[in-house]
Amino acid sequence: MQLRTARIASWLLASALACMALPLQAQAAECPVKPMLTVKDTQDGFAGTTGTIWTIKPDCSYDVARLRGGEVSPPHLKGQLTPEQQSQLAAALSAAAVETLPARIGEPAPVNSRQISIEYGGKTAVLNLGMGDPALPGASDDTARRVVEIGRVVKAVTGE
Amino acid sequence: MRQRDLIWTSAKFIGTISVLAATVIPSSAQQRPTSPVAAAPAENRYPDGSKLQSQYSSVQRAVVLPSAAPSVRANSAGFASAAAVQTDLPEGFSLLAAPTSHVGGTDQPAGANMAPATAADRVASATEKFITVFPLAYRGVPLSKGSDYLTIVDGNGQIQATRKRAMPSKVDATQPTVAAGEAVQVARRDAGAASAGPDPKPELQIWVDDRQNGNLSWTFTLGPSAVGDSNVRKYWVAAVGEPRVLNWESQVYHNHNGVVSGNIWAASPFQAAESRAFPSLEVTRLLPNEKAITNAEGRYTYTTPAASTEVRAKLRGPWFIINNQSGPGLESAQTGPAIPPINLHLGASGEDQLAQDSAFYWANVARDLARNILGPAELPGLPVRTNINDTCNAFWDGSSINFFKAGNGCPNTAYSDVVMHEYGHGVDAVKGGIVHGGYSEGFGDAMAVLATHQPCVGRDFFGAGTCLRSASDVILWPSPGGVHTQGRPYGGFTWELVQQLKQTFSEEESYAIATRLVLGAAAANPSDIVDAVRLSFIVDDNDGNLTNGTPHFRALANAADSRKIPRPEDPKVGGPSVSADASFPWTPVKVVPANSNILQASIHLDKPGKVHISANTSARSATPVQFQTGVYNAAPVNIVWTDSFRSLSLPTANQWAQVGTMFAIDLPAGDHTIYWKIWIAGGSLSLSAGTLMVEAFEPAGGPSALTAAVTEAGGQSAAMNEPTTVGANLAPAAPTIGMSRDEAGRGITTVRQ
Repeated sequence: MQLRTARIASWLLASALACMALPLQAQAAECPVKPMLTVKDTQDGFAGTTGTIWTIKPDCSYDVARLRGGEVSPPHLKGQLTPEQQSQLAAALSAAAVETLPARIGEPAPVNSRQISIEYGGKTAVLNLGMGDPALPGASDDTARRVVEIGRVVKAVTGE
Repeated sequence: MRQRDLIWTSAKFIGTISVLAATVIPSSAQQRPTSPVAAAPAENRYPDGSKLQSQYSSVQRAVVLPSAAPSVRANSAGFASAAAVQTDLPEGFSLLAAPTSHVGGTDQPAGANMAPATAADRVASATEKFITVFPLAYRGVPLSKGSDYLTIVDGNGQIQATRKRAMPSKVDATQPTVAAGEAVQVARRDAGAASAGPDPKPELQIWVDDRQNGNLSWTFTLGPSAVGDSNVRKYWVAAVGEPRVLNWESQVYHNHNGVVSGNIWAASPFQAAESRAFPSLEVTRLLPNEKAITNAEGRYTYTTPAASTEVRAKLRGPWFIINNQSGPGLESAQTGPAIPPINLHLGASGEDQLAQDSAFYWANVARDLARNILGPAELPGLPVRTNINDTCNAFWDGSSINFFKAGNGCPNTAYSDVVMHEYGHGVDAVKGGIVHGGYSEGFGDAMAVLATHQPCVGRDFFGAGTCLRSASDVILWPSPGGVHTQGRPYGGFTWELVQQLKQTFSEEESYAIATRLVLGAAAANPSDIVDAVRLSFIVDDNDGNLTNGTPHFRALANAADSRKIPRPEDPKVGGPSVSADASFPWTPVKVVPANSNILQASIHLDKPGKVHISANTSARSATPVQFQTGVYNAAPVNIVWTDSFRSLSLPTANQWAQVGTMFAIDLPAGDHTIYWKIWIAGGSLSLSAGTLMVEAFEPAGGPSALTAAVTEAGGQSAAMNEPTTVGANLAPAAPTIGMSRDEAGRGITTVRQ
């Protein structure tokens, strides 16, 4: 009996070790976006805030909608991330340590601010880029670069 | 045959040939011999050097250049090269003296420091050039311009190139057989009216025709007798044989000029495009290279003359440079002489091009609107980025204004209202920085209102017929929300200010005054909207004392009050005031079943004055009823001043409610009777205890403006115990209400009777 129990325990342990040893790509078959991920890239201007909103759901389906005059239009793009895209996104989220991003990076401009925001796991990080400024607020600002990188990858994997 | 007979026979033969030739050569060719240096219309002939025959050579000879300053080296290069090439000239020809141009190299005298020549020095010497254009002479007689010898010597003393140009293959004579005076007479006949000026001083020259024949000629300049007449000609007349005109050229070079225009969206991209002249646009002339800026009418004029050349207009100027994001920038070019004028049209057609034209045009309108508060160093050469690959927005980014393409239901955003708004941010930014987002947005809208003379900011922005923000909407201060929402009371204040001013001034004057007051406030970098309104009063003030009012105090105050923006207190009355009032008692009740004047009061103003009018009563009706009230200084019952107009209702039967209006207006000197009016249809009102008060005062202190007043209490009840029916004989009014202007330009509201 003890021997049988020990065998079962050994098998479980081996299985667990095998799972831990699986390459990242194999794990990517599961959607890496456990909470919903929302990225907004907006520009304030003559007509208020306009821009685009990317939403990636926990099942790795996504949609893309426009923001116009403060109103979100119905999604104009919907889809499902492929395993490769999931891997790409997982890597970006991991590299950017998304959960550690501060709530606000940079100061909003008095008018015509450009912002990129990341909403993930109940937290929101807002990057203020100044008036229409597509560049980073400072080359040494690591948090800003992380937000921009997540945004870049999300746009890339959703095709927009 | 004797020699004399031979000559005579030859002469007859030549004469016969000449006669025959004259019969087949067009007369114009006889009058205007083909010239390598003249090819232009008869009215103005300018030289065309492209017909001159040139022969370039690589001489590869060295001359000695001293180690000295460039000017000394240039002289040496000139003399040395002349000596070196003289032997290349045919027999009888010589070089005449000419200055040498120094190009390239460094300004340091070569070898001045006696340092060893470095590789860089040698490269500099090789790029250094001494250029000399030597005029030529044949047996002491100068050749006309265009016949010359060019040498180019480098900094190391190498003659790199030479050019012989318009060298005659033969010369007919060096001694004239035609008197100078005779040649002048021939030229005068040729020039006609242009030749009446003083006698010229003819000189001998050898003029080379396009067959490379050298013709000894008299050359001189003929001018008109009238000062300022621009018809001045230089002539070359044959100095041997028949005194014929070999060539003439205009000496007065008319300057290139013309108008630059383009197609723009006058209102929005959903409405028709129009052609407009483009002010403040840079026009480039190719030869000689010069830039001119168009004036307010779009006209450019060069300050120096030129022959036929290219003139090119791009969408750039001293204030704005179009930076098109979707492709090449729009431009227009033409080549031609100075006369007739070269008009350039930036004939935009599609969205991409119209956006560029419109952005440039409207940006300059914005600049012009703000010209009184912007210095030349403020916002010069501002980039205007058009056709950005995005939709439904536009923005100022701190150093440029940016406009998006059409799409997602929005037009291309590079049009009037939007451009004005975004440039407003630029003005705010350069006047001390954007310190309040709400004010900055409101000021941008104010710019659009002031420039377009209408209240909608963002016409057709979300599709044809839509309006993004109307300044005529009554959005009260403070307006919580985003910066655009916060700014709306200020746009409304601006619109209302114009409406108030229009009660006294023409539309053009009203916009000019409002522009001065709003832009004047902007120059002081307001802290917020309240500060901006306060600053407009200060800008308007003419004596450093706001407590006694300002020239346009009432208009400013009414505009601020219309959006409930805090403002300076009403001025205390400086001089004597006048007042009048009229009333009816609480009983008997006054019944009003139709449109009526219910009270009137009269005043006299010695000078234009501020008039405050208030009317108040209690009213009830047997049935729920809607009605209107207002006042006006004329008797027709269907007219009230628009700003006194109130639309009211009594929703519950037989319940008393307060009814009235309050109103202020600038009125001219003279007698004024103010009538209080009620418009009602489909019911009747019972009024109890009403009063009409009229107060007038000199607005800004100073000498007494008002010296007499007469009051009258018209409409008062005649019998204290009987109900009075007013206007009962009037037909019921149809409920159609319209707005227009009275003869004084003030806003009135009328009702069809």
